[in-house]
Amino acid sequence: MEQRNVDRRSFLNNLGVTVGAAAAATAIPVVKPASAQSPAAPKGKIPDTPLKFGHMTFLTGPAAVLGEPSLKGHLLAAEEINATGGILGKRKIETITADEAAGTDANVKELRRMKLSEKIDMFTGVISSGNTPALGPVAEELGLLTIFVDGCTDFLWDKAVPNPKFAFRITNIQSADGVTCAVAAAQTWPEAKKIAHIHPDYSYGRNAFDHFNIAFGKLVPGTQVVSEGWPKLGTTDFTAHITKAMSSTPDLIVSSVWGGDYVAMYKQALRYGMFNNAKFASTIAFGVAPHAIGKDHPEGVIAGVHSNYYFTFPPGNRWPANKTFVEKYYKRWNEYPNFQSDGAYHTLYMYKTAVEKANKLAGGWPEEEAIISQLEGMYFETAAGYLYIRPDNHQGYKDAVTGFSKNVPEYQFQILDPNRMITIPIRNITAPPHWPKPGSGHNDPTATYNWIKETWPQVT
Amino acid sequence: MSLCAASPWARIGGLVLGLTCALAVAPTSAQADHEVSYFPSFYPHEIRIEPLDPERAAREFVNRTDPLHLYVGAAPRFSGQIPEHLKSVESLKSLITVSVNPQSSRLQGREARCRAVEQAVGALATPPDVVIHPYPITPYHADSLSHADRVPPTKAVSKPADADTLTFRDGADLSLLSPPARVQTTDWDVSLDEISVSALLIEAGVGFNQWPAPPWAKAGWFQAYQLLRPAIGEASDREHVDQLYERLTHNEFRDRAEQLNLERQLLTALLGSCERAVIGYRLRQEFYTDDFSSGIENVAVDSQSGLNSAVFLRTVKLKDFLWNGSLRIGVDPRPAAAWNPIAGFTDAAGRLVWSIVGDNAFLPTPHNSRWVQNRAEIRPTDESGMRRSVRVPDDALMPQTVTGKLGPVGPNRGAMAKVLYRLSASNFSDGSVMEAADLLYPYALAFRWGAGGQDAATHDPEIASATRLIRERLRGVKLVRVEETSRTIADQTFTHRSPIVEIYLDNLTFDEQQSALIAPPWSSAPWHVLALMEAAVERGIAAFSRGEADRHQLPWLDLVRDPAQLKTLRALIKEFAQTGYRPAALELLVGPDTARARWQLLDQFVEANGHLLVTNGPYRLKALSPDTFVFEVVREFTYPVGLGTFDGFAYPARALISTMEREGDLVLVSADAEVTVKQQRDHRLVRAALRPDTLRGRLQPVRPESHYVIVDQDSRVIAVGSLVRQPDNRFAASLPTTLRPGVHTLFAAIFLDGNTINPAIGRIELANGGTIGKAGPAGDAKDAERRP
Repeated sequence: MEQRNVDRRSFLNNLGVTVGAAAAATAIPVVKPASAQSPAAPKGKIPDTPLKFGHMTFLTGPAAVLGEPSLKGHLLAAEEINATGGILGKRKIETITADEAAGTDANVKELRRMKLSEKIDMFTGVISSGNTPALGPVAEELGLLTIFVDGCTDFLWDKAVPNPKFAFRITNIQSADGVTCAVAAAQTWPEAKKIAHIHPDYSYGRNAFDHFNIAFGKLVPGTQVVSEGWPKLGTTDFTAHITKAMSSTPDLIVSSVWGGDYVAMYKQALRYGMFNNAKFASTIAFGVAPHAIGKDHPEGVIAGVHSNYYFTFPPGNRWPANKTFVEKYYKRWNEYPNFQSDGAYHTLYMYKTAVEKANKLAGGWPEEEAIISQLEGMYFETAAGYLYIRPDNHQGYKDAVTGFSKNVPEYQFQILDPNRMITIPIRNITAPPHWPKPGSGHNDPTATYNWIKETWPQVT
Repeated sequence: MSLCAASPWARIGGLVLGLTCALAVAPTSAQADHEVSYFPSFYPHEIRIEPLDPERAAREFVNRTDPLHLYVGAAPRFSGQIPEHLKSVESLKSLITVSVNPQSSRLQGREARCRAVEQAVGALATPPDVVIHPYPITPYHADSLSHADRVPPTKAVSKPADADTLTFRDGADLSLLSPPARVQTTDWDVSLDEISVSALLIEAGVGFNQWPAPPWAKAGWFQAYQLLRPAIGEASDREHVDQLYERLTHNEFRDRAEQLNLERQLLTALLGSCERAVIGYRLRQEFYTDDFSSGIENVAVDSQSGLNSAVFLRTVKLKDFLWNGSLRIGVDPRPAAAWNPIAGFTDAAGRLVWSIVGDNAFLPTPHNSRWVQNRAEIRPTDESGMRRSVRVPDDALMPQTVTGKLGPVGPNRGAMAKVLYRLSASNFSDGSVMEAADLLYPYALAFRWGAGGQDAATHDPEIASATRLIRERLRGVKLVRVEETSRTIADQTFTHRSPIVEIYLDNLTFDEQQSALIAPPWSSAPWHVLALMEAAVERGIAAFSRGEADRHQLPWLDLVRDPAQLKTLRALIKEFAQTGYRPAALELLVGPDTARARWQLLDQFVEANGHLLVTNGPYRLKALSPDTFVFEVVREFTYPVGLGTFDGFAYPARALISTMEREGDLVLVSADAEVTVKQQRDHRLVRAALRPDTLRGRLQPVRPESHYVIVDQDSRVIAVGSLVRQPDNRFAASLPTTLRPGVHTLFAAIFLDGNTINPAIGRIELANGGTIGKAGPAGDAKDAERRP
C-alpha cells in the first residue's frame, strides 16, 4: 500500500482530534434519550406484563469496582423508566442480577437459565472480555436481544460473532485504548522519542503495547522503545519495573496497568520520582470509579479512561445530557458515575427508544426484529456524547476520550481536567466495516492494527 | 508454559494424588480486557503488626507520615479528644463472675449463696464498657434469643438494701466495685473475677491455631459450661450438668425445641447452686481510622474477638487502594506466646498472626456462631440428612492410638456419619506441593500426642484437649480422587487441584455442617514441619505447649523468634535431609526420596527467610524485628481463595422489630432494616422498612433469617420455628395448634444476613384466647441508631 508522508498537525486535524472543553458535534440527526422527549401515547394495545431484564456484572472480586457502577447505572435507569409507568407507559422493568465472577462456564449456564427458566426479555451488562466472546454466541443461539455494556475485546466481532443479529455492544473496542493514548501523547508530547513501557503481562497489556506503538510510530517519527516492563499478574512490588524504565532515561513512559495494581504502582513510582523525569501516559489509569484515585496521584499526566467516558466531560452545561446524568446518578448513589455506569444507564434508554420508535411504525409491542432494526444504525445522545450503533457489527462507537489528571478543590479525589480533554472520533481510529479480520489476509493482532499499519501515513 | 515443577506424587491404593499445581497456557487470542475476575488472597499486599501500648497507639493514629490503621485488643489511651477520623467497634471481651467462698460459714446454704450473688450484682460498678447482665448468655452470643425470657432488663436489677454487707476477696478489680464495697484478704464472702472469652476458650481446649475448634465454641451454653461447671461442689450436681452437656455435644435430642430445652436446663443446673454466677460482661472497644483518604473500610467485626479475627483480615481494605497497600496494625499486649501451630499462637498477637499466615478449613462467622467454608467445601452424599449408620470402606485409613500410624481400618467397620469434602489445595510457602500426607498427618499427630495418658512418652495435655473431638469421633478417612478445575484469568489458564476426601465419624446429627467441623482433613502446615516439631519435642529441645514447657522446664517451641531453637532445628533439618526421614506414621504414604526433597526445600526456606513458619495461608512472614512483624500477601494464582470472598460479612445489616401483633393463629412482626450503604469512600447507616428489595452498599438484597421461640409459663420451650414473609412484608409465625391453656410468651428476632449480634428481640404474651399484656422488646437490645 502506498505510504504518504504528511505533517503531524495536518494528520491529527484529519483525525478530528480536539483538545479542550468542547464536546464534539455532528451533523447527523441524533436520537435524544427517551427521558428527554415528551412521551407520546403508544400505538395499539400494550401488555402490562413486566419486562424482565437480566443484568450480569461483577458483584464480587476485584472487578466489582466496575461491576457495581454498571448495576447502579442500570438500576437508576430502570427506576426512572418505571416511575413513568414503564416502557411504552405499561411495561415496568424487573431486573434479575447475576454475579459475573462465577466464571465463564457458569455465566454461560446462567445466561441460558435466565432465558429458558426466567424468560428474560433482554440481557445486559457483562464487564469481562473473557465473557463476551462466550456469551455472544449463546445470545445469538437463544435469539436473546443482548446489549453488552463492556467486554470490549475486538475478538467479539472479529471472531466470536462476526455476523451478529441479536448481540450489541456499546463500549468502544479495546484497540481504541492504545490508539487513543498514542494520539493524545503524540498531540501533547511530539518531541518524545524514547518510550518506556510498563504493561501487565497478559493480553490487555500486549494489546495496549501493540496499538500504542503502531499508532505512535506513525505519528512521531524516529521513536524507539527503550524499555519494556511486563509485571506478572498479581505483582505487588513494581520497583524493578519502575527503576528499569527510569534507568532507560525515557522521554515518555506508557502504561496500561489497571486498578489496585495501578494505584500501587503510582504510589511506588512517586517514591522514586518517576513522574519527575519523564512524561507519563496511561490507557486506563482513571478507568475505575472516580473516587478511587487519590489526590497524591501525579497531576498533568495522560490518565486514560478506557477511551470511553469521564464524568467531568463535557463540563458544566455544555452537554446537558452529561450534566443531568451526573446529577441524577449522584443524587441516587451519592457518588459519581464511571464509564460502566454511563453504558449501563444508556443501554436501557436506547432499548426504550428503539421500542418506542418501532411502536410508532407498527403499533403494539414490537417484535424483537423490529427493535433490532431500530437499534441498528441508531445515533443516540448519551452522557459521553453521540453513540452510533454500526449496523454491520452491532458495535457502539462514540468519540474516544482521554485527559490530563488534575486536583481541584471541588472533589476529594483527583479528576480529569475538563478543560483539557482530548476527544477523537472513533471512526477515525478504528478499522472500517469489512476491513479484513485477523487470519483473513493478515495475521496482525486486530483489524484496527492492520488498518493503521496499512493506511495511516508516516507523518513527518 | 508450566509454572510448576514436577510434583512429588503420593500413591495410595493405586490412586495418584498430586494435589496442587497451576498451569498457565500461552495466550491464543486477545480475549481479555484490563480487568481480572479473580485476584488471589486479600486486599492489603502487606500487613505490619506492631506491639503498642495504648498511649503509643493513640499517638500513632495521628502520625502524619505513616498512620496506624487499627488497634487490636484494647482502646488507645487518648490524651485529649478522640480524633474525628477514628471510629470504634465493640465486641464481647470478657465475662464478669462472682464465686462464693466455699469456706464461708455463713454462705453454706443455697439461699444464702444466691442472696450473696444478688448482693454482688448490686455492688457492681458500671464503667462505660461494663454491662450488668446477670446471666451467662449475652447479646453477643448467637443463642441469646432462646434465653430471652431469662435475662432481666438492666433497669430491673436494683441494689439490695444489704448489698454493702458483702465482702469481696482482695485482688478484685476495684474499678468494678461501687465505693462502699468491702474487700478482705481473708474470710471474704465472694470473689469477683473477670475472664476474657479467649482465655475461657483456651482453658476449654479450643485452639487458635492449626486444630479445628468445636462447632459450638462461640455458643453461650458451651462457654457457660466451661465457666461455671468447675465451681460446682456437689458431685451429683456435677454429674447432672455433665450429662446435659454430653447430650448437647452428642446431639442427643429429637428436635430443635428439645435442644433448646436441654441448653436451658444446662444453664439452670449450672446456676442452680449459686456457687458461681455471671453478673455482667465487658465490651472490647477497638479503634480504626476512617479517614477519607488513608483510612480503612470493609470492616467485619467478630462478635467475640472483635478485629482479631480471620474474616476481618480477609475483608479489610485500605481506602486509598482498590487492592494492595500496606496495613498497619497495633496490638496490645506484646506477644508472649510461642509461634507454633500445634499448641502456640495462644495470645492475642499470636492469634492475629495465625489468622494471617494460617488458613484453617473453616473460619468462624463474625456475626453469629456458625462457620464459613474457607479451604474445605462440603459436598452432599447419599447419606446426607439420614440418621443411620454407614459402612466405613475397608481401605479407609485410621491412625493407631498412641503410635499415630495410619493404616487401613479393615473390614466390617461402621460409623454414624459420612462427610464428603472438596478441599482447595495450594502450595506451601517453602514451595512444597500439598500432598495426601499433608492432609492426613494432623490425625496421626492428634492420636500420637493426645491419646496416651500423662505418662506416655508422647503426650501433651493441650494437644489432647484440642484434639479430643477428633480422637473421639473419627472412624476413618478415605481419599477418593483429585478433581481439577481451570480458572481463566485474562489470557492465562490456571488449573487447581482439589482432593475429594471422605471422613467417617461417630457423630449423630442432621446438621451436616456440624459433622464437617469435627475433624476436617486439612492442614495449614506441611507434614514435614509438623514432623520437625515432633522431633524437637521428642528430643527434649522444646515443648509444644506452655504447660508442658513449664512442667519440663523447656523452651516453648517457637518456629520464628528463638534463635537458639532455630539453630537446633536447622541441624535437625539437615540431618533429616540426609536420611530422608519421615515419621513412622507416614511410611505408607511418603517414600524416603519424597521426604528428602521436602527437607531440602525446608532447608532452603529457612536459609532464605530465617524462620520456619511454613504455611499455605494468604500471607507469609516476610520480616521480623522485636517491634514489627511484616507479612506479605500471596498473590500467586495457585492460592485458591480470592479478593472479595468474605466481603458479605462486612457491615452486617441489622433488623429492628417495630411491631408485633396477634391475628388469630398468627403472630405478625414488622421490622425495619438498618443497613450500611457505601458511598464513595464513606459509609452511611440507613434505616428503612425491611422489604425484599432493601439494598445494601454492595447492591445485593438483604437475606432475613427470622426465628421465634415460644416459652410456656413453666419456662419450657414448647415451639420454635421460622417466620414466613407475608405479601405485606410482615413476618408471620403460625402458632401451634397444640398450645395448652395458660400464658405463653413468644420471642422473635430477625437476623439479617445471619447477624445475631445484639439482636432486637420482640416479645408478645399469648393466652389461648388472645393476646394479653403488651408486646415489646425483650432484654437489653439497643435499638438506638448505631454508627457503622
